[in-house]
Amino acid sequence: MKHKIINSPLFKFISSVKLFIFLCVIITLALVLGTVILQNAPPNHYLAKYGKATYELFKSFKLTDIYRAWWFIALLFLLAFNIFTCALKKFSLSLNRIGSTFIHFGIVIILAGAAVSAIGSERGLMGLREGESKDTFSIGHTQKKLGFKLYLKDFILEEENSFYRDKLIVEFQDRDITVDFPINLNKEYNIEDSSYQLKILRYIPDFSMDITTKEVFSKSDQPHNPAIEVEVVSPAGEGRQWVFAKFPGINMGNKASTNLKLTYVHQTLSTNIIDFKSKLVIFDNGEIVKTKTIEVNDPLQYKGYTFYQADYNPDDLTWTGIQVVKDPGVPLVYAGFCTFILGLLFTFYGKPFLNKKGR
Amino acid sequence: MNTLLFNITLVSYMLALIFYAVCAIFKKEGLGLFARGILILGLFNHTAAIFVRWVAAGRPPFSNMYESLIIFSWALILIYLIVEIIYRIRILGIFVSILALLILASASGLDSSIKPLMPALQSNWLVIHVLVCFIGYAAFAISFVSSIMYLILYKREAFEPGGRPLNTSLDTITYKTITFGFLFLTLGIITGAVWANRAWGRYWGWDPKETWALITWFIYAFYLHMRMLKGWKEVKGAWVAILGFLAVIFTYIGVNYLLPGLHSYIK
Repeated sequence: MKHKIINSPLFKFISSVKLFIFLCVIITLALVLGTVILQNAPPNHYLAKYGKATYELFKSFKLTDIYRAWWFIALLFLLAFNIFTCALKKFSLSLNRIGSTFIHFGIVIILAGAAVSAIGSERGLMGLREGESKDTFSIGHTQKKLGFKLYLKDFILEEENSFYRDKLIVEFQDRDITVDFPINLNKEYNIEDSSYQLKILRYIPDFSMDITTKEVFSKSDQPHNPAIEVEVVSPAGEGRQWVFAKFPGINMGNKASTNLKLTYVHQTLSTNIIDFKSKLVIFDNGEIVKTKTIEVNDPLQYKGYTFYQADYNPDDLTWTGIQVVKDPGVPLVYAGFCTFILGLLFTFYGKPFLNKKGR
Repeated sequence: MNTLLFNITLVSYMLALIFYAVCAIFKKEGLGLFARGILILGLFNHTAAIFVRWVAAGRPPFSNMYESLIIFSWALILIYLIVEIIYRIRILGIFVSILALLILASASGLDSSIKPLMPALQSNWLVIHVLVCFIGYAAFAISFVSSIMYLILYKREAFEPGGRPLNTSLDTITYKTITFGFLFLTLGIITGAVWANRAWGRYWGWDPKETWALITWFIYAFYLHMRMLKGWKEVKGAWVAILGFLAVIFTYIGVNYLLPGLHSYIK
């Protein structure tokens, strides 16, 4: 019976290297398409970019959601089956073939794990406020029970402020020279490769001018309209002008040279998010069973569920967004990874080494 | 990267290139050893430069295009030196030093300022994942160089100084570097998957970078099967190796600029 199956033309075809090569090529092309065509975008994107006829074609072949298209999943199944039967046909634990056996079964285990994930995994979101506890999370519009309670003790956002220095950029219109200067008052700068000299006389954070007296003053201490007064000494003469950070086109005053373009860059502080963390407590049957501060790259695990720091609200720092995942496929996938790597190491390095020793 | 160390690295690789070229033209063995010595010194210096940046930034310098090019050229020289020492072949040194110089030169035009790591990258997996990927990329780069050289030379009867036919050596190097690169590409994909599962709770998400890494993986898997089962060596093999490296370059650089996705911070 076993012999009959193995010798049947269908089995021969399914377990053939030819089919593998064919699938390799077709799947690769599908993957290329999947990255070239933006996946799961709204219909308008495709209509605008490709036109109606092409979009209809895309829809009928599910090209806008390739990785979940029935034909793509069928191809993956066929690949798994092809590799599985091929590995089964050549199954051997001999020194020569054990590596290859591990490699190919490794892939089959990975794909089996992926199938378990696709069918059996739960993936949802939970929003929590400080002091709040919940025992449900949402998958789309439905609520799912956890069987225990998650409590948010504290949400922490770590930020870092970096201050950028202001600078004055000097460009020559006729030559390809651009020089940056820090804003240091009353310091004389010589512009390299030219006979120009430059001095910054005044800095006004919130520039304003009395129309009658032409007196310059600052309306406030805040940099609402920062400006600097620059003195330029050039071979053509001397000049003083105001340069505005917010109005780069306006240059007030008399210019020393029209050849020179001055730009004042005023940079305020910028804030970088260093990290965001949630202090979580798990209550099971009314008792504290686990406490952990989670952050991106460091989730909390309990009873098959994993809680990931996923989101936060910059306008409400008492709220945290947590991704809840239960994925029974993961152990299988990781086991497949290990099997595959062991097989690869043995085939490429173990076997040649042993062969050399044996000779 | 520290400018002085960066420049010393550039000069060393340039000198190594000159000595490799002179060695190939005048067939002077001693010069080849000298070239290797300079390349090793350059690599030490390159390593020091990476560490200086690491310390200055207070984090692994593996986060943007500038930093990744520095790592890529570093891995390229490292893997090349190993290949040179194992296979006692020096002719590739010319092209590998040119490639490393081109990579470093293009890095020097990019933004080299140190920025803090975004939360998703703050993980020990960053070091492992990036190193493994770039060692793989570097091995594939060498298989690419040896394939190109093979296609240029296969019609001529070229011999190495030791008397071995050069073509056979080049073909072997292509194969061996591809097996090595394939192992590391696989490890790169796996470490990426494990890291993604740790950070976001999913080991695979069809992100363009992931998908292109898989495409590259398929091309090299194709190479290995055709070579082992159908005897595709030499010319045919060389063409597949070249195709594979084009996919590597697209995975590494093209995806960041042309396709939107999770890895798009690497610009």
